[in-house]
Amino acid sequence: MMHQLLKPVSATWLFLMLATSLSWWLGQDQAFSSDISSDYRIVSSGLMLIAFIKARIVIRYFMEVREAPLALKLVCDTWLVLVCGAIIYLYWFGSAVSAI
Amino acid sequence: MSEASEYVKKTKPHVPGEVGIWVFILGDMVIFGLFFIVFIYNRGLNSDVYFQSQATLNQNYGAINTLFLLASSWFVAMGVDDMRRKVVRLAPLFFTLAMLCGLGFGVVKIIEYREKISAGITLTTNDFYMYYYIFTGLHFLHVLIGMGVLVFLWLKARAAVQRSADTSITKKENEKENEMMLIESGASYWHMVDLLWIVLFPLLYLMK
Repeated sequence: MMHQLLKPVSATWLFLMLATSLSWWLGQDQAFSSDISSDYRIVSSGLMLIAFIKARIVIRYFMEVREAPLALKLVCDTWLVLVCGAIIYLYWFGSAVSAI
Repeated sequence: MSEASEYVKKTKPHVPGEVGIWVFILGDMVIFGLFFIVFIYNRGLNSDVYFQSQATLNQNYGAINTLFLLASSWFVAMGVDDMRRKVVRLAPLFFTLAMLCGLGFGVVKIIEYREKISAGITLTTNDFYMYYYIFTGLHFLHVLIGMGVLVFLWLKARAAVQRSADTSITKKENEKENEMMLIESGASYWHMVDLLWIVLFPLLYLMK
């Protein structure tokens, strides 16, 4: 059983669990307690960034896209960058976009 | 596995599963991607309502469900890895554990929905809850389909264990390849279900 736990997918899983715990902690109110309004926005953006890093690890290691042809790798990375970028951009500037 | 064949496995590009399932997976990812963008845009227009509504969600449920799906994905990856061996032993156990984690996700989700509905919070309460119910509901539908996929993987794994034990049953090399393709397709679908929840969790529960 021990050698099962030493596989790369197991290390991947451990890392993902730790990243989730970090997000869980960051999402609690104490991490958001600062009065400066820009601070919680930075924490929120960080949470989204962590989520997309986790998503990429799932794609690469669990879905095994790291062994896939370049085209599939590129499509997946494009999705990650576009969706993550759009979320963070609209989170910061969404109300300004709607005012135009 | 000989050194040479291992080398080939590592260097030759390989699509995990059928091309068709990847068209479906990528299509689903694009649709959910648009959902996320629509949500965050509307959130910016009426942030007070979203902020107050989000405060009533239980972050622990969201986090526990993330851990359930991550563990489930890990078990599926271990199961697929075992299925690739000449002698399959642990794959049925891994797929069973993956199903139990999926079940755990479902139980937590139902508890959460019940709490919200008994507090009078429904789809029509406000925009935040409309998105909350639609996104998590559609995702839950994916989980339910995924549970069916996991049952299929478990059946395949059990048959492979029986084949390993009984040397009189042999499969042709191309039959094995086709079967592995099906296993990988099912596994990739289940990992996508995990992936979508990884983004939904901070989007709905955590971002302030």
